[in-house]
Parts: sequence; C-alpha cells; structure tokens
Amino acid sequence: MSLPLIEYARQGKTVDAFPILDAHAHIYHMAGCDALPLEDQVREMDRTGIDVVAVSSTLALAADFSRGNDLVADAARRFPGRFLGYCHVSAVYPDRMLPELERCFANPIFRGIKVYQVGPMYDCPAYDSVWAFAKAHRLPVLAHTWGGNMTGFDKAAEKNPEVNFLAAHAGSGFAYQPYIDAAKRLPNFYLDLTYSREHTNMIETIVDAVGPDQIVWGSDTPIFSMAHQLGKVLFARISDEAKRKILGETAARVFGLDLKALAPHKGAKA
Amino acid sequence: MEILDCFCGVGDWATKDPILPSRTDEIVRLMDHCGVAKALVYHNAMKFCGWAPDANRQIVEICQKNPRFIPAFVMGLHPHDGETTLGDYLAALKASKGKAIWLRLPATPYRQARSYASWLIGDWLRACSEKRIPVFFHAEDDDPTLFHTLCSEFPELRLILTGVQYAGDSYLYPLLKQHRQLRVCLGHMYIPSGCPGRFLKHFKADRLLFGSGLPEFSPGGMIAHVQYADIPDADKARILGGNLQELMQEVRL
Repeated sequence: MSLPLIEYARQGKTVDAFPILDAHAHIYHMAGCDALPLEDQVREMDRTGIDVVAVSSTLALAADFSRGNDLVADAARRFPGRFLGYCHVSAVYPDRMLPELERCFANPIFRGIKVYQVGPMYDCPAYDSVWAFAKAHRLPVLAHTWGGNMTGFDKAAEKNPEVNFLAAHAGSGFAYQPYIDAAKRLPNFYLDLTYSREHTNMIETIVDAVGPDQIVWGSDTPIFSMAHQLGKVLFARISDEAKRKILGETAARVFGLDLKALAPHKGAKA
Repeated sequence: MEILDCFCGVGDWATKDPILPSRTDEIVRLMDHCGVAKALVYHNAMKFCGWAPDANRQIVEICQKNPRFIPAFVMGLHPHDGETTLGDYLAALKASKGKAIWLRLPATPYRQARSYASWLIGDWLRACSEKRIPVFFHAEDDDPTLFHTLCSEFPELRLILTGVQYAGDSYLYPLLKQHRQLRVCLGHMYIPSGCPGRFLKHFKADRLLFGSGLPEFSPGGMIAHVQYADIPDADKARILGGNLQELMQEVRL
C-alpha cells in the first residue's frame, strides 16, 4: 500500500510515487538572493523527488532576456531531462520579442513563454504577437501576477482562448478571490500556486473552488526553498489525487508532455 | 523528534480573514495534522488594538485549558499610577509558567512600544537578559540597525527574530556573526534556497528555530523545509524543537 503523500513531507522522504513537474522556477541570482550552484539545485530536486523543472532566468527578468534565455539553454544542456525552458520576453522592448521567440524556439528545450509584470499591461497590443506565437506553436504562457491584480493577463486569456495562460503567485498578498473568479470564468486560465507564503487554508480554498485540473505548482527556486513549496502542497488538506494533479499532471497536460516519459523510474498514473 | 512551534497566535482578532482559524480547537487540529506537539502562544487580540494585560490574562486562561500551549506574554508600557508594572508582568509570567515575551507582533499596525530604544524599554530588556527570557521581535519591516543596537546594548538578550524574509541573508548573516545570542525563526518566511543546509555552513543549528506563524500561516511547508534539508538528523531535531525546549528550560523567573 502506498504511503499517504503527507508522510513524505513529514519524514523528508523523496517523493518516488509519481512524477513531479515544477512549472515555475528560475536559474541565476536575483537581488538579495544568491542562487545555489546548479549542481546543488539538481541535488535538491533529487532529494525532494522533483523530476523536471520549467525555468526562466532571473537575468532575463532583470532586462537582459537574450543572455538570460541562453543561460536556460545551457542549464538544460548540462542536465539533460531535468530542465525545460521558458523563453522570457518583455514588451518594454517590443521589437525584440518576436525575433527572440523565434531564436529560442529553434531549440526544443524551450516549451513555454514567460512574461513579467513590468511595462505595458498584458492585454496591450504590444503582446499580440506573443500570444499569436503561443497559439501557433501551442505554447503555454506563464506571467508574474501579484496580489490579485492580473494587470490584463485575464483579459489576454479571454481574447486568446486557444492559449493556456498560467497566472503565477495565485493568492499572493492573501488575495485569493480574484484568482478564483478569473479561473472559474476562463477555462484556459490556470492558477500557479508558487508563492513564498503559506496562508492557512488558502490552497484548500483555491482547490475547492477551482479544482486541481486548473492548478499548477512551482517552487520559484532559487529565490526560495523548493522543499518549502513542495511541502505546502504535500501537507495541504486536499486529496492525494488532487496533489498529484497539482504537482505534475496538470502542468504536463498544459505543456503537452508525457509524464511517464519525464520520469520513467517512477510509477506514473496513466 | 518532538516538534515545538515557537511562533503561534491563538484567539479571536478583529481583522481576521474568513478562511483563517482562530479558535484553539482549530489551531490544535492543524498542529495534529502537521505533527506539531506543542506551541508557544501569544494572544491574537494584540494584532488589533488589544490591551496587553488583558491579552496576557486571556492567553494564560487558554493555556491552562490546553496543555499543548505554553504562554508567551506581550509587552505593555503603562505610565499611569496603579497600572501594571514590569514587576507585575514578570510575576504573572512566572505564575503562569510563561516562557517568552513578544516585543513586536506580526501583522499588526500597532507597535508594543513607540520606540524600542533602551531609554524606553531598557528595564524590560535588562530583566529579560538577567532572567534568560526569550524575546521575540517580528522583523519584517524594521531596519536591521535596530537589532544590532538591541544586541549590542544587551549582549545576553536572547533575541529571536521572526518575519525574516527569504532575501534577508545579506543583513542576517552579519548580525548573527556579531551577536551570539541572536537567533532566527523560520516563520514566516525565512526560506532562502538551500537553507537550512546553507545556513549551517556558517552557524550552528542552535541559531535556527522552527516557528510557523500560525494562524496566518500553516506549519507544513516549513516542516518540509527542514525535513528535506541535507543536514544531520540531530540538527533537524534541534531546529524543529530542541532549541526552543532548551531556551524555555533556561528561563529563570
């Protein structure tokens, strides 16, 4: 009989029961946060049982998105099968977005697009070419959102129903209701639980309202602890089936990935 | 290993979000779910204009009814004749088997003191130093210079910072290196990547304490943060409960 998932976290036991796909993490340093060496980051993945991590570079977030995207490609090359890439683009530099998308997606390790909440709103025309690219290539888009302010991301999702939009930091600032409302309204709007804090009963509230088929999980490492973020879900008072979906199955579907192929050593559910 | 939570509030408060727990049975259920044996608790009323002597009386009553709670008092300054004195606070703390004092609570617009300088609260800090009473301070928005000053002026003060952020290492490490009695609580949210393993390359495990931040924050993620760390089991046990146990045993009231 398999162990209840909460026991893995209680005991610090590597999650070996099913594949885990981290849909929101980073590589490189950030202001105030010195990143672990990539080797140590992979060791933490091994210790916790996180198989694959979809990453963008914080260097790209800081503005140098071409060099940041190159770091992502390099991480994926150094650790085959452990990293998927988000190509990060910014509408602050609108003329560079499409060429950068075309450059990155020539490399198959890139599987999604990342945008950040600076500059123009997500529903401004500058982003139209990005959403069109995502639609044409069947790519999910992950966006930083904060405190229930979608800054146009929900409107972009509404205008582009064929594209899957992942709203990062759902519930941040303890503002869970706007995220729930947007997800209930828009079937292509996914909630990403990545968030430094662990507000009591918030994961349970979001799962109860939205359902695990519209929720993904990310660690945001190396900005903060992978184990802490994983533990939030493993300890949540939701079913183990919901935990499996949130920790991998839903993201795999969004990315169009075969979970069994990602972690063949684990007993993936069909 | 016995998990002890050093950072927990119980009881009702005015600004509570509807999904948060406040009642003792709700908190105990969460502790059971996460495997937390006991918690050092303050009263939540102090988060929104509560009056310290009343909040402390309430927390004593709650702890008397529930042996899994250990009282932590909140500091109050009362300049008027006939009001509660520092001596009264310490006597009440001793009578209730209380084990800590909060100088500043989290999630509150109200400060327990208008200033934390020694001219104002020096007698409190001297008493806590002499009696080895752990003193908690929610650091979230404060200038680290305040903690440096407190620790410099009261080097034996067992000051425990809560609310240190994941990006706090740049000031936390220099503070910890200079002040041997300064400690840091994991809650909520001292969760930098690689911690606590990375932390223990610089400091001993006795400087880190597990604390959840209940009722605003659940304990689970923080427990996983320690349990998955690449550190010896003995250090995990210290962080998750041993350090708090030791600090409480050393109180000399």
